[in-house]
Amino acid sequence: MGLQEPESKDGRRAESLTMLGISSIPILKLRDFLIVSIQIDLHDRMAEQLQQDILEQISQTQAKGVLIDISALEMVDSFIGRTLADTARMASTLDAEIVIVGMQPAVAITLVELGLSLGGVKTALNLDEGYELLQQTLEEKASEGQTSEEALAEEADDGGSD
Amino acid sequence: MTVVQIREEQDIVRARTTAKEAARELGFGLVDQTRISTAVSELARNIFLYAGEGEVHIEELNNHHGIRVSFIDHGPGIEDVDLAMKDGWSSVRAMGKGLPGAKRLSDRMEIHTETGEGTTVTIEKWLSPSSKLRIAPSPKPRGGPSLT
Amino acid sequence: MAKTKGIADLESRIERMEEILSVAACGDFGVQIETDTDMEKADALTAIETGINLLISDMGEEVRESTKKADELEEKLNLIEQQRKAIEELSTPIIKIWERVLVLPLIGTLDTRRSQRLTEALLTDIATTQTKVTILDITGVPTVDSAVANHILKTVAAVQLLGAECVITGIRPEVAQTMVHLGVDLSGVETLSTLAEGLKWAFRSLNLRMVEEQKA
Repeated sequence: MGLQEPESKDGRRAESLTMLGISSIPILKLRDFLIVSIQIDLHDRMAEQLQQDILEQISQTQAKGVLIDISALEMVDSFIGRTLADTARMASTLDAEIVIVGMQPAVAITLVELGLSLGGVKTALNLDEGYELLQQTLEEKASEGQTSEEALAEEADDGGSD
Repeated sequence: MTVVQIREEQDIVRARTTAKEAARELGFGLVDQTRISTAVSELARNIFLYAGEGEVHIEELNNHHGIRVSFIDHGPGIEDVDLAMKDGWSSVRAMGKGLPGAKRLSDRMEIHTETGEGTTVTIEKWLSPSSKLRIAPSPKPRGGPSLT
Repeated sequence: MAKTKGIADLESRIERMEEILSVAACGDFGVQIETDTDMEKADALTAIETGINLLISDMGEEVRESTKKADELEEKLNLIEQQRKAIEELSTPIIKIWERVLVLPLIGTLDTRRSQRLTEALLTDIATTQTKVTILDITGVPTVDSAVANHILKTVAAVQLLGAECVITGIRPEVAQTMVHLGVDLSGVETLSTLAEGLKWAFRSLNLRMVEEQKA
């Protein structure tokens, strides 16, 4: 019992930090992107807090992409999985793409057996790949935007000539 | 046997870390350790969500053949077990869809529940059958062969 | 007097027989009753003693024989287990066919256990070598029922969660037919007819281009 004391103290500290609105997981900004590295075993409220922090940071910094490194996460259960998937969907409504990088093989196998597909969240093997994937996605988005603008312009032209 | 009390949310983390450590000590590989800790996380969360509090018992199965984890609460119980066991493959949003997932991650799962009394869910994970393959020692002859 | 001594002698011999028999009953077949080698002194009891000795040595032989057989059987079972592992390893070679491209030719039937081991080995390989594309060739899978298809789809989903790409090749026409009849949803998965096509797909995904060399 004595051994569990420090752990629960840590837990309390984490909780009080959570109540202060600090998820204790740093979110770094690098140019247009945010980088988050989850290095601790997430409990549910921390995961929710992280979601809130990421979304706030996206809106504050106008970041276009977020890289979430989960290589240190030894377990992703349905709650954490769903929170990550939700965060990605919410971020995309703020016009930011989320890429999850570095998932451990055991975690991927367990998630599939659990029946979670993470709702099609983008994933990459490592930070480098994730960065490339983000840039690629942004370029595609930009060119799509252009073509649709062109299409609109053409339509407008057509409308004018009629 | 190790008992982890579930009273607050962090206890879910404590239950799954303890179970993972126990599984590692019993000789489970990394993927099985992850399956066990994930299943424990799902079921411990169910206690926290539906009963408020309860206990998680972690014990070794006979002769190092595996691990058994029991989740005991005195909450409202599950009214429709079949419905609770329905697969939540696509319903990522639904809460408490941990039961079918936990069942898939373990080798055996049992649910005892009574409305208003509480619920006990027991899961087992066995070490691979090849490690169990052993011939029983041949019994010593008692009667002995007859004289011919 | 001589007669009492004779009876006492007989009693002690019978006691000795009982003792030896109980030792033998406990599983020790190395014991024998000391008999008079002098044929002249042989009496009715000597025949019984010799009989018991024969019985004990025969039983000892039988037990040694059966222990040997049990040992052989265990050895054979171990051999079977070893061979099973060898077959499992042989039947799921993970081949690095190009920088960051793995090929996994599936051969034979896929049960839950085999597909779990295979997925585990594949994902560990992908993570350690940071492999970008995996080609899952199912030419060697004789039948694809819904269970097998489910196993394959789970493997693909796990590979994709890691952030790697996965393409299934070698789908024979009859397999394609059964998969459609079974209602297997392959919409989230890239499928191609041949391994060669798979390799081309991998090159495209890695931004590699094959160029035919022009002869001068």
